[in-house]
Amino acid sequence: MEKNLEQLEKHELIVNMGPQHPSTHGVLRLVVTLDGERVLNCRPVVGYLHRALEKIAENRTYHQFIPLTDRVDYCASMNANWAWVGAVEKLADIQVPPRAEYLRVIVGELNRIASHLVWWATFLLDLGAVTPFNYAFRDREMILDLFEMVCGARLLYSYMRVGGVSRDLPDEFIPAARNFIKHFRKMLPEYHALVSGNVIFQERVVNKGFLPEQLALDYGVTGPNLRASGVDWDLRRDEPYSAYPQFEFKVPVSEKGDCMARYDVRMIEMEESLKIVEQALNKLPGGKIIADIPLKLEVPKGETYFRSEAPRGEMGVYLVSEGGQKPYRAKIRTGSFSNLSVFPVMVKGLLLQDLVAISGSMDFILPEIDR
Amino acid sequence: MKRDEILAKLAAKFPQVVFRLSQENSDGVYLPSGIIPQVAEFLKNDPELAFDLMNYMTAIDYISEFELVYHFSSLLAKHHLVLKTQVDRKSPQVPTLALIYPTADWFEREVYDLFGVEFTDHPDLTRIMMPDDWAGHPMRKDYAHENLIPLPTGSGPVIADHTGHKAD
Repeated sequence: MEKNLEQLEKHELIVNMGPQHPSTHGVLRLVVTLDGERVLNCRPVVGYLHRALEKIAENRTYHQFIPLTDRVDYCASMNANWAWVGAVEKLADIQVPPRAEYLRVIVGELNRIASHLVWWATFLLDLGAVTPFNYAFRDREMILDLFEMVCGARLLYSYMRVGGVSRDLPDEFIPAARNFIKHFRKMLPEYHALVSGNVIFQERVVNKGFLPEQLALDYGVTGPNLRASGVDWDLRRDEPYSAYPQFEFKVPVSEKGDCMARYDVRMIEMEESLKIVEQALNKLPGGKIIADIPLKLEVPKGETYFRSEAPRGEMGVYLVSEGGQKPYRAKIRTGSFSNLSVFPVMVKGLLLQDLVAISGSMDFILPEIDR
Repeated sequence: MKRDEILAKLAAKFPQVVFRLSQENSDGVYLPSGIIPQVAEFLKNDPELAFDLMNYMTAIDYISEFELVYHFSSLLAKHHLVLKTQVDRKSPQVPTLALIYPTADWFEREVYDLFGVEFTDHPDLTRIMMPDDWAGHPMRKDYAHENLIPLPTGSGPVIADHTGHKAD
């Protein structure tokens, strides 16, 4: 009681944003200390989606864990699959056939677009713009249709396998994918016309929520958020894995580090992903889609760290094997975990409405943080 | 820089410390836990090493002891380093890196929460995944809970057809 009175005198108010709050994109709880509308302190409370995936991994074979990696990031399941199978292949020294690598790049980049579309839709929804949501989900639907063709699922794909992918493309996939590319190329300028130049939108994001380069690095921020802070770093180009060296694409970088920069970087990334998908479709090699590996896969003793460029930053799997069919320890490093840890520093002293804009622009996803 | 060059630089800077390579198929470098903050500070601030990013840190429960793993990388010089340290399992204590690499703050909280390793001088050492009043540390290999039921062990997978009957 006394403490409450003291707080009242200081005009401090503690507000629980979440865990059920429309703009926290899942079950994130932000304990915000406010003075009027000014944020004095913000403490993210996570763990509501903790499913102990790393513990479960210790009791599953390498194949059995693949469906659970979908749940690490349900907006970009393909990329989460990829990080896992990539780590297993690196540790067991498995050569993936070229066609499988190309198929992975195609679905991985399409999933990046789908994931960025979810970000675009929900970010603008947070800022009060409802219409863009309908545009983004209409176009994302086309990607989900493509994924349904290749693996039958629309959200949790489990498409990748250790050594390759689960099935080849059906005949109708390539024309449908080209159709999507053509359609989406036309839609992107429309997105910009609808939102990017809008004054109300600009007022909310330009020069808001700065993330300086050094602060971003100190907090382990990766992915589009890091590139928007002026660091020219993309694992697909700088530490290439899979078939990425065979494609030409640009890595968008912005020096500004505000919400608008993060918006711009992601918008350009979608265009670049389209280019990669197009090149992969043009150059798609024939051959096998999965390496010959036994169902009872035994991985030699050792450890490795495989990292990949997921839509939300560096997604890596640190795998320790003591031999046998199950990992001894698996650590999943995800982009959002580190991206959220810098959030309290960024919002200190800003207005509550800026906090919403920043959290939207950073593109957190909670299952990836809690795992 | 190759790992050997990085190691040579570390050995020159810290002559009193034994840097031991780990066994086959792993690129970790073992060092005593007490020296980690000083080494990390050197890794970060030395212009040639320039380890600007700490990718992650985590722990492994080897039953006889805990092993802590720190993964650093440099975006500038494009090299990696994995540091490892072993701590006693009975009273695991390690100095924090949160003051040098702030990203370690949350990673260390996770290790504290799930493994029970204590990080001295950590600014906010509280549970991050589990509820605050949770007892025990779930990622330990000997963790027991009434709802945790071990998988049946047998010679191979049990194969059932769509009716649920087990095949011979």
